[in-house]
Amino acid sequence: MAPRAAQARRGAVAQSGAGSLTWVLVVVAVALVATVALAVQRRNTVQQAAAVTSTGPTPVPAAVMADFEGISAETWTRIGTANAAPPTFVGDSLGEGGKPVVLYIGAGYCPYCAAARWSMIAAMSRFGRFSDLTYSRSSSVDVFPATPTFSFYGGHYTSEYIVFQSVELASEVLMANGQYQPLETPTSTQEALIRKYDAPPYVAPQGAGGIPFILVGGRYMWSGSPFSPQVLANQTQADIAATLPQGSGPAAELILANANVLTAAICAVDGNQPTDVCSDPVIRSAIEALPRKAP
Amino acid sequence: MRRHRLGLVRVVLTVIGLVIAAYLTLLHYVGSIPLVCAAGTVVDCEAVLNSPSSVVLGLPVALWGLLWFSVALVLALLSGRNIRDREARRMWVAGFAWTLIGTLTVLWLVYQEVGVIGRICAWCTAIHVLVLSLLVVQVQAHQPEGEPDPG
Repeated sequence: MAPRAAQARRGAVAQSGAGSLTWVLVVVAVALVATVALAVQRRNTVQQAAAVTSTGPTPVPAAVMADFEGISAETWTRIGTANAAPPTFVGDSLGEGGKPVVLYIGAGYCPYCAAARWSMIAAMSRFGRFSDLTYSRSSSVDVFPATPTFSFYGGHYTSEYIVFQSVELASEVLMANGQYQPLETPTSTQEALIRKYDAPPYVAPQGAGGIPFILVGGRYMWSGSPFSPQVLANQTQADIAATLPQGSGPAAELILANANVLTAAICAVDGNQPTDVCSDPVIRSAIEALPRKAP
Repeated sequence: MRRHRLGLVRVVLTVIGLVIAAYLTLLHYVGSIPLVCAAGTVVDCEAVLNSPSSVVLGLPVALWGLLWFSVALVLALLSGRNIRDREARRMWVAGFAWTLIGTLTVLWLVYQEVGVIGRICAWCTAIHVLVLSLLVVQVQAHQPEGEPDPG
């Protein structure tokens, strides 16, 4: 009898021990459910607000474009390629009218595309001229909300050396159905390039199909953000652009370092033209560092 | 015996948490380490780990997690020793307070992921489950004043 009584008492104590604090677990469970409910409600509210507060595109002032075009050779050389994202060698070729094509696939809502456009405009302004670009910000309800940038949608690019093909799949405007407003559709050729190169083994399986997708001359490819959009947060496009000519500040350094690598890739596919850009020692060195084998 | 058994469970849970938090901390500081995580419209570790919410007081949340699990491990190891009941109760109170702090942090992190970032990080969710499991174990280990370890 005694052992059985002791066993029964032990069980009762065990139950009373945990049982006296079971309410804590109940409170935590309720708090967890309430937290998720509050979070979902907040997300829905922000998404609805974003859908009704979007405004029309604002043309980029000439002074801001002049900041891109006014980056001195000394600044390009000083910045170099530190912390820049290297491309992946895919070894294909893509041209139009005898010129290599720089292909960009992205979207207005995408904060990583927002970051990439800064380096693209800086680099490609060394080979030609952008016009009709508009101000844009990435989605206000995604990560790195409202990252300041520009939109290639409706913009133009002219160059003696390269052809620019841009596809902005959607805008940053969230519609009532929860989808971003569709803008452009890739051609079948572009679609095939994305399917082929924005996939393993060229990118990690979890990054397959990611944007931005940038392909230079069909040979060098970037998939994903060249740098963290965080560095652009809480600034206007004009503020950031003003730091470019001198390459001052962390944003300018990352934008220009990545632009130098992109410049090197373009030089590598367009016959090293123009000479003053492609013969720069930093660019020569960056060309040497470009990958030569597919993964 | 029961105290030791639950102590062992706490040690195992905290060690798993330490390993995950160490991995996420290394990811933050060493860019070349691959992030093993799906990237989609709901689960996207990269988006969460690179979001503004991933840094608190200048340090990555993963590092705060590493510190939290380190303290939790020390408390678990101390609670598992052969100690007198009064000391065991003090250790229990310390462990309970620590897991409550962890639980409140988990609630804040869940809110950030679902409400602010709009993405879920699978590794972070694993850590949240571990913290909540530690709270459950801590509650299970509770012994009211004057009652012996039920063995």
